[in-house]
Amino acid sequence: MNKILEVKNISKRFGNIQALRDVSFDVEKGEFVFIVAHTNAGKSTLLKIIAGILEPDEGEIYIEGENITKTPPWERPVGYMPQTYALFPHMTVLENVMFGPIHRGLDREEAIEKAQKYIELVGLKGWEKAYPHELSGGMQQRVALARVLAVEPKIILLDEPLSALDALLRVKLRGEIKKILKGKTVLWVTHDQEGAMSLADKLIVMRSGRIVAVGNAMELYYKPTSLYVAHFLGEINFIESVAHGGFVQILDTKVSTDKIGPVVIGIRPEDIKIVKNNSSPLGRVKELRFVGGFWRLLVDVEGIDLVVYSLKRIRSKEVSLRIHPEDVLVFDYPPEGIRRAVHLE
Amino acid sequence: MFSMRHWAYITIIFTIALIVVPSLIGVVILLQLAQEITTSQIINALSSVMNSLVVAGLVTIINILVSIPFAWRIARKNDSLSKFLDFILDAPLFVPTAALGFSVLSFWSSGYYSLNLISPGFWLVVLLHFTFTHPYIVRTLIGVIRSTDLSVEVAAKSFGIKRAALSRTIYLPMLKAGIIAGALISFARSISETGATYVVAGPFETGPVFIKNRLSVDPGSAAFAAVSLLLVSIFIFFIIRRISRRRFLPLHPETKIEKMIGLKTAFSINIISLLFFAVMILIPSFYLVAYLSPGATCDWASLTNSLLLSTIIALAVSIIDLFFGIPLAYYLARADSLLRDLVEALVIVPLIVPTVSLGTSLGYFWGSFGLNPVIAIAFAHLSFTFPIFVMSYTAAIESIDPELELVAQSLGADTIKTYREITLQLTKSAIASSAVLVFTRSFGETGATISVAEAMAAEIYTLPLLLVSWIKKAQAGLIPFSTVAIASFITLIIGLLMMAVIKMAGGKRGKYE
Amino acid sequence: MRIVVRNVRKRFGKVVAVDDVSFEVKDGEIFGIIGLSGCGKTTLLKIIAGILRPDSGKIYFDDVDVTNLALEERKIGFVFQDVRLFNHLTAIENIAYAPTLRGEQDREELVDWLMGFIRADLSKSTMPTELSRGMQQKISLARAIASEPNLLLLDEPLAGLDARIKSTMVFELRDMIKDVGVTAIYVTHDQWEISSIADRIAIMKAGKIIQIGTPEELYYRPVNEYVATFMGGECNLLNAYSLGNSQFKIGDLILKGSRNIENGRNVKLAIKLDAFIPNGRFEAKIIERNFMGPFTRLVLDINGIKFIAKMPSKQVFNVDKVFVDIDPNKIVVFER
Ligand SMILES: Nc1ncnc2c1ncn2[C@@H]1O[C@H](COP(=O)(O)OP(=O)(O)OP(=O)(O)O)[C@@H](O)[C@H]1O
Ligand SMILES: Nc1ncnc2c1ncn2[C@@H]1O[C@H](COP(=O)(O)OP(=O)(O)OP(=O)(O)O)[C@@H](O)[C@H]1O
Ligand SMILES: [Mg+2]
Ligand SMILES: [Mg+2]
Repeated sequence: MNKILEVKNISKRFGNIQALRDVSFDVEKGEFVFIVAHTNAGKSTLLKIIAGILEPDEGEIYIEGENITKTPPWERPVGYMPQTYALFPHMTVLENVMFGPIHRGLDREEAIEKAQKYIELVGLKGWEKAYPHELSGGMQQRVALARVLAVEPKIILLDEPLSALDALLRVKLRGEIKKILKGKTVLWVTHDQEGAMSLADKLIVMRSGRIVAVGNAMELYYKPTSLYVAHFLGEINFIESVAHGGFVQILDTKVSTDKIGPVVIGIRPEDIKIVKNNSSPLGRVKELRFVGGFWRLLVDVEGIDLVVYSLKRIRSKEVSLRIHPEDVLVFDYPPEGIRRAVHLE
Repeated sequence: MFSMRHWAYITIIFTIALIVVPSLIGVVILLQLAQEITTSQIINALSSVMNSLVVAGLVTIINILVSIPFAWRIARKNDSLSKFLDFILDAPLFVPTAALGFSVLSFWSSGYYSLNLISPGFWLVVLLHFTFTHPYIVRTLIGVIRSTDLSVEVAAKSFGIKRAALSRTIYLPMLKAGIIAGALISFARSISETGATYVVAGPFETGPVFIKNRLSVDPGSAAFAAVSLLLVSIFIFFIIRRISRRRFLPLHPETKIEKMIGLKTAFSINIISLLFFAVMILIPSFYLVAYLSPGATCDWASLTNSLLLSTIIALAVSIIDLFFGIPLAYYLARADSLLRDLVEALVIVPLIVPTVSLGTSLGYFWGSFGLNPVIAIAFAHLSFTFPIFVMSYTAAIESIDPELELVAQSLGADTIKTYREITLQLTKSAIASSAVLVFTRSFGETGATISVAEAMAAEIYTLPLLLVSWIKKAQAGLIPFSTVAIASFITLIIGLLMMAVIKMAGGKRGKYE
Repeated sequence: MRIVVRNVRKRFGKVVAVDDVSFEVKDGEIFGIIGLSGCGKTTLLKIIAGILRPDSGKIYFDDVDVTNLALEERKIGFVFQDVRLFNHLTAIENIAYAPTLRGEQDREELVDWLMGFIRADLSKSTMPTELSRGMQQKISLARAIASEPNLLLLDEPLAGLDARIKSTMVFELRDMIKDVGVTAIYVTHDQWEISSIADRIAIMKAGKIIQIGTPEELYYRPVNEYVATFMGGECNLLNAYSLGNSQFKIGDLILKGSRNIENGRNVKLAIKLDAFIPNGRFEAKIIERNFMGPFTRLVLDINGIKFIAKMPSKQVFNVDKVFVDIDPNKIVVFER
């Protein structure tokens, strides 16, 4: 156990908006932690508080056991990449990236060297002399990324660092960042659930200023603690049902459960198999869409609409579906109803 | 750790101790004189204050209307006309106020080849006040327009919104801080100006003229007028500040008139604002030059000495203003507290106190320390230039996104380094604009300087004082007017050259081009 | 409105941002543009809007040459990549900006409806600077739609929203644009997003358009390796030679491709990541894995040849080898 960052009971309000409510979590040295949440959840607010450019109303931040809640930003061993880039408009790319190293005590030569290294990493070699307004949106984002990486701080806070990049570059940079930041501690805010799950040592899911789940990506995806987390991490079908006698039923599949009474059954679209076997329940294909790599079907089976993914194009109007009991999740029926429980603010 | 905040606090103490208190001391002393005055004295005093308000209000409103298109053109178009206007814009401020009064009088009313259009009185005062307030609004606006990121304009344009409605809903609200700052400075200048107004007022009495007329014969009335002027102005400032926090212009549908304003109208508005500048500002200010005749000469030694003295004072004052004004402006632009509002209100005071009473007050205050008169004059100049710098520069900082500063801090720069490398760089042109205002104001100030010199019984001739004394001699027929003309002309040329240097140091272009 | 872009070129100093681009957008069509960061997408949109003038080339709206028409005259709804909200107006006034200035009577209903669409529950006094980035993006989208433009130009309108909400909003946005019937050009770097919304897509590279086609065409019939790689971010590119009968040989491996090439010719195969179907006849060792939710990204070793694959996560749980088939339709063949 080697906690480098401890966030304790942070709350923050703006006027009558409660941006963060009692947020606490720890990050261990060398960990890649991803924060995912809907828009407006308070992610950026949280990063700003850790970076020290916003003061929390309540709570403390510890870095390596030391309370730094009142330490000014320039004395924190933290680098922060803002979501809006906030590039210095009067400085060239090189000057922007050098800014951190210079102010963290490097001399000019070293700073230039460091800056060039990171400018090259983000694929902007040759653009050192350009000004931010001469760059495209994605290029600006990469400058902002290079600028924070060049500081080489102990803890790196990234607010949507790759959101403006094409898939090619995103995949490449993700890998490189992971490589180059090995051993560093990274807190990475993203909207891209898939990207987060593929890189994260730890995933934090937030909702409306609160943390609703912390854990390993696979655990959260397959054994989500709530309807919300299940829904947020990937498309899922929810079906209302009632459990009795230790069982619930979905199509012709019986699933054993210890819950009793009204429940919600969750089944991911990729877990619903389209089979040739006609003894399985038959559904009518209501909608079919190619969504890059696979087909997304909306199938009406016995009056229930199910989303199903298929790797192959389905040409028939009717399909047989099969669900394996071990793929089925059973949740207590939420008192506020399914819609409200999973509502993405 | 020494930070911007500490620096700001030191500046606040500086401001209160060296600028606000000295300016007010005289007023406080005067206040005691005002205790036994009759109702008729009160009515007279108040009506002069009323006159001042009307003049200042009228002048400021018309000035805003003509200055905005003018400043817009200079700041946004980078052609040679803009460059020329930018160069010549502050020229009226180089004419010492007394000489300015005389020049305006000669042009509109009585003098060589004069128009003989308007005799001294209310309208001539208004015309005069245009000349020395216009540059303040325009300069401040140019500084703010250049440092504001106006790139959202394309969003509005893409919806098919035309010029006029665009100005109402986008440009003017975005430049609000600059417009208000410019208007307040111009209002304050108009309210407190004495020297030039005195020359053209005739029977009409503004507050400061009233005070000047009564100061020795009826100090009670003068004191009462001075205090009322101060209080009323502070009140008005307060109200304007309050209102300006609110919504600026309504977001209602594009009107028919706005729709009609196309390229042609915009063009004619430009022409009008240009003509206004030429006819109402530039020519009247330099009408003195009409007295120039071949072979004219003057006392070159005195002129050189005065020029040197004025330049040194103006330079020293500008540097001190920058040194203390920058942190204060930064504080005013970024802080949000009761102290901030209080400091803001106090900073403006020396600008509102009529220059005669200001001079007397400052002469008395600094004289009591046995200061060298030149230094006392420099301190006096500090009082009325400091607010100009602070107000105009605060508006520019307000237009810079604070997020840039915060990010710089998170990258390791403390507040002072952040200011130096980010905010300062982005507001360079506004600093230059503000510095120009301060320099010219010091260089051309007459009223308060005379009062200080008189109060300290010192024989000191700054350039304006020299010119005023020459004008007096010329009016008495002792020397030819051409002497005054050539001296003014030389002053102007040298002044403009110095301004060009200051502006070059600031860099012309905005950062968002 | 029908849009024609003909031979448009734009350079900034040494950079040729848009290089001889021509295409046509049909009335009511949603036309997608996708390409690498810095390839000229935004510049192209700005030229179509009239914010930038092309160095050469022409733009036609419904056969009218608008190349020299001012931005104000084109009535365009532009969602800017850098958002550009009016920070001095409230968020709601931003949305209502164009309808208000035009004096439209039903603007309140319009604004309410749009707020519902973007799922924003804003108070009257909320200023844009008080909103999160994603929210600002949504306001910007609503503002453009509210202006009831002739042409909607959307530059990454859903960037800054999480993938889940995006996946629903994309379809809703498509339905809405189709309902209104406005022609739209949609720029994004997300291939999933663009496939979901656009009728046709243009792929740009370094200022040029490389291919225009429907999402499926680009996916299954890319004109070159670049396009093949682009739609997906990754792709297996392998040298092989043809055995005839649509069969190709890589090392010891014989694969069936999507088309036949004359026997003995050298070819390049572009194999999509999702071409790998479980329960097939090739034995594949799993060398590396990245869990991504429904799918897991794998590095596979089949007969000593390395492939990147994306397979349903549950099929590859806790195993170090899988048996796969490779879908011939997802093996694009290029002649070398
Ligand atoms: N300066 C501010 N003034 C007022 N409210 C603010 C301010 N900054 C943030 N908020 C509010 O705090 C809440 C959280 O905002 P934040 O920017 O942290 O969200 P986020 O999770 O980063 O969203 P996004 O994914 O869109 O970036 C929002 O309701 C926002 O309106
Ligand atoms: N005002 C400008 N001055 C100089 N160069 C510019 C300017 N605007 C764009 N460029 C250059 O033109 C090229 C294309 O830029 P553009 O913004 O169109 O890219 P983009 O495709 O939108 O990229 P992204 O996906 O990153 O937003 C880039 O190389 C950029 O540096
Ligand atoms: Mg955010
Ligand atoms: Mg772009």
